Amino acid sequence: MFADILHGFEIILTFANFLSIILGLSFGVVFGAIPGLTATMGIALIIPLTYTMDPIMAFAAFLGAYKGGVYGGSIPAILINTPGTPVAAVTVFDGYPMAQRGEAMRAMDIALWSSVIADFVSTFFLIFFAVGLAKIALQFGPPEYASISIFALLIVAGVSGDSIVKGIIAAALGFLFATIGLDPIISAERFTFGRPELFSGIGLMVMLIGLFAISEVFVQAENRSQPIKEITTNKNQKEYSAFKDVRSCLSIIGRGTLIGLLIGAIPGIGPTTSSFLNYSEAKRTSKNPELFGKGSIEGLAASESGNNATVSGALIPLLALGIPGDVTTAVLLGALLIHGLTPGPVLFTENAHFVYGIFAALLISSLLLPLVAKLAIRVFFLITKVQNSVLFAIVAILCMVGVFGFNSSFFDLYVMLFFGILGYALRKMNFPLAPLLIGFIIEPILESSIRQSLLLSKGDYTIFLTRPISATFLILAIVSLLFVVRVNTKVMSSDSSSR
Amino acid sequence: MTKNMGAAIALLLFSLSLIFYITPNYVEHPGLTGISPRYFPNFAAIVLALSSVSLLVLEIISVLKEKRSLRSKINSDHLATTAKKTPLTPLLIGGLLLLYILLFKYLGFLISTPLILAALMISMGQRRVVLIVASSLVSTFLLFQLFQNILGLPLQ
Repeated sequence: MFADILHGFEIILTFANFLSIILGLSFGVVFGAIPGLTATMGIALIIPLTYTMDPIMAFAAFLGAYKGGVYGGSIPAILINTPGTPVAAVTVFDGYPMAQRGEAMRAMDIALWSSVIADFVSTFFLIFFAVGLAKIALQFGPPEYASISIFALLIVAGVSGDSIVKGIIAAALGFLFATIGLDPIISAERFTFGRPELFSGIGLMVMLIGLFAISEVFVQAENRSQPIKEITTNKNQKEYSAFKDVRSCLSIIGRGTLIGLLIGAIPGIGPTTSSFLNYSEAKRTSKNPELFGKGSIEGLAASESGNNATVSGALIPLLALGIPGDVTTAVLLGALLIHGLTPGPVLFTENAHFVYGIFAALLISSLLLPLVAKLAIRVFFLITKVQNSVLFAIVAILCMVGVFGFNSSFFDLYVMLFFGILGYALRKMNFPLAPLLIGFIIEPILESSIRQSLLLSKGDYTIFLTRPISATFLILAIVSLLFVVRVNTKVMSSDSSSR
Repeated sequence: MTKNMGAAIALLLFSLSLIFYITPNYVEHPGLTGISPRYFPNFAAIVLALSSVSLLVLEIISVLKEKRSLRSKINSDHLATTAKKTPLTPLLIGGLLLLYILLFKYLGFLISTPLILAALMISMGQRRVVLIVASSLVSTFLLFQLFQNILGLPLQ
């Protein structure tokens, strides 16, 4: 294997391939940083430019764009409270509060190095354990998906802030919004009110940008009578050491890498769920859980490591089995086929030089990401010098144009505005937004897997308990629930005794 | 009535209307075996109703427990902080964004964007005319170039 990897480096270490990786990364970071555009769209746009390229050079660009896109979403999440992509939704929770207290550059550094470390380590796992991990991921059927979704739903308790009841209400609203459209099993219409635009449901991107970005514009507009100030003053820029920050978060990044790798390898769950899971775990085990959501470096590291590690994870079923785990890897699958390569076990035997060339490209793109990202941060950091009244007016229009560019749909713009107003109202009444997002993301996975499981078992609910992986996740869910109840009881009793 | 009580009552009414009117009328129920398409919307609506009742009860308990003096202090603090804010501006911004969607649809990107950008900046307190005009025109040009020509995403 080592000889294969060295051969892979021999193939990839050419000027053209290097340039291809750098251009892919730059393109990906720009796409990720513009609200409304995604890594998937970036890769799709690159494909026509690569028809005549060597497959390895083409894939170097695709993978660069994939990694750059996943990372790039964190930049606007930190600077303007707007996740560039849904993947960066969790980064908002701690990145933006850090920027607001003048630590935008520190937040950027933590996000970058957490992403790079998680990405680099997970790429090693991909290289050495791709086939084995793919086999484990294949053990996941509908009952396992259902159990892991129930486990993931418990994150609501961790991101509900001061009131779990408000968190549950927000999650229930997210759950409800996710049921809009055709139902996943028999395509029955639900809450479509005869509008064909609603048949495919509400787009995650549309909801996310409305909920976080447009509501932030409203909040900023409300504060307009306050003196105009720069969004970040960066007053603490010289008082931190990125190395120390990252070192203090290494265990969180390590856990995020493993969670991201596993979640990425399971088709259909996705990087946002991975981010949420790692965030929740980091909060549960942190010595300072009260800082989460208020600008915690641990929270930021958890989010970014959790989502970036899914890139390598998502490539495992794609390369080893030919199964795309999400839309981005589906586009990559199409690109592989366009270049005359069929992914799966045969790819490892018949085109080993290509596979190991790709692995080498992944490692090199991890190492080049900081260079491209540092440059991008400098450019995007100029944003912080713009007055709020100009900045948020442009942000509002950018969100509109970004969402329109995604589907060319005016209906999406109305939906985004609705979620902007809803997000603003919820924020005014101190309802947390994160549980709404979790409910919205988990519902489709949970519903289809429960219904598919019951169809498989002919209505027998014990199917969730008789399969080992499913039962393990259900037990984990119960243990976590008991833990949450215990912690809350302790907090309540200490509150009442301190009074 | 506190903000939380108002929110809890509104959410309770919404969830009840979902359970008894909206879901039965706007979610198909083909009568096949297995879990009905109404199951998950109803589940979410029931959770919403129960949580709203819990929020209402918790809020009533906390209001009853609160000492009168403390409450009046909080209210006066609250008034002091909210007095600095301009709650009508978000309404205006919302209206402008709605207008932008309509103008974008009927007049196109290049005409509607600089107009609405300028209006948004003015609504958010910007008063420097040169800055407003320059940033509206430059942003419109850059966005158009980026989406239409560089990324190939049509804006017209």
